[in-house]
Amino acid sequence: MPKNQLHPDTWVDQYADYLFNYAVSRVSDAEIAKDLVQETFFAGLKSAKNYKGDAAERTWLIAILKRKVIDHYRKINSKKGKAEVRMNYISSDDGNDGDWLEERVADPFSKGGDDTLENEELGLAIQDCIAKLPKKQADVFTMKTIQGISTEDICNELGINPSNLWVMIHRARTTLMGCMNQNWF
Amino acid sequence: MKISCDKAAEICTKSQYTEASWWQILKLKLHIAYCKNCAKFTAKNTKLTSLCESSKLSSLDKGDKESMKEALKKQL
Repeated sequence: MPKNQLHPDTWVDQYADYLFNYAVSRVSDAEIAKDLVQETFFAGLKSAKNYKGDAAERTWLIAILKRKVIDHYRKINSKKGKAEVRMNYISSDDGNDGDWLEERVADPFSKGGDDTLENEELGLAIQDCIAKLPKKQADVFTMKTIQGISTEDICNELGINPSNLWVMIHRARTTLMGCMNQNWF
Repeated sequence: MKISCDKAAEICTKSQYTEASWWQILKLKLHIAYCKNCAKFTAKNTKLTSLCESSKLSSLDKGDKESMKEALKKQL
């Protein structure tokens, strides 16, 4: 008896946002990321019979998504030479000399790269914690915090009153604080 | 001027979304001055907001998810 089973009908609700964030951080384009997530779900369905149940559903989907991201980069680099890194000597218009290549090499003291990596991990950690919330709280929190929808609009859409909304947000935030506590606070 | 801890928590959460009035915030600040628990909570709550911001989280909107579900259903 396998430990895990696939439930494709709950995939979108449970994993779409997580996969989407993962994809966005790798292709930095929301439209492409969306397509990749969709393709991942399709590929998951197609190869569902190969799922052995050893890994959790999400881990398995992420593994597929990783391949999709690689395929995406293969596709856009398929024309020969496109994958080369080119640097041009850019001469600026105002008569000054352009930048020298030496001036453009990576700054060894720059922490930008680390920050990007850290933020990506952080995003997935938050998404992880959101996924553990009750569905309604997760929805409200996502709409309010991530999508930045106004209180009024959320209330109209979900048919709740503002004090309901604030209670839910409060509970969600308290749970999130506890969930993130170990690693990020 | 005095407010309960529950009220303080509510104002604190609202203020994370800049939806608390300055009068409420003043009351919250006063409360924090003598209530250690709420001060801790407020600090954590603010930290959570900054974490959410710096992670630049994004999410799919409802329409996108619905169309994904539809497409998946067709394949099932």
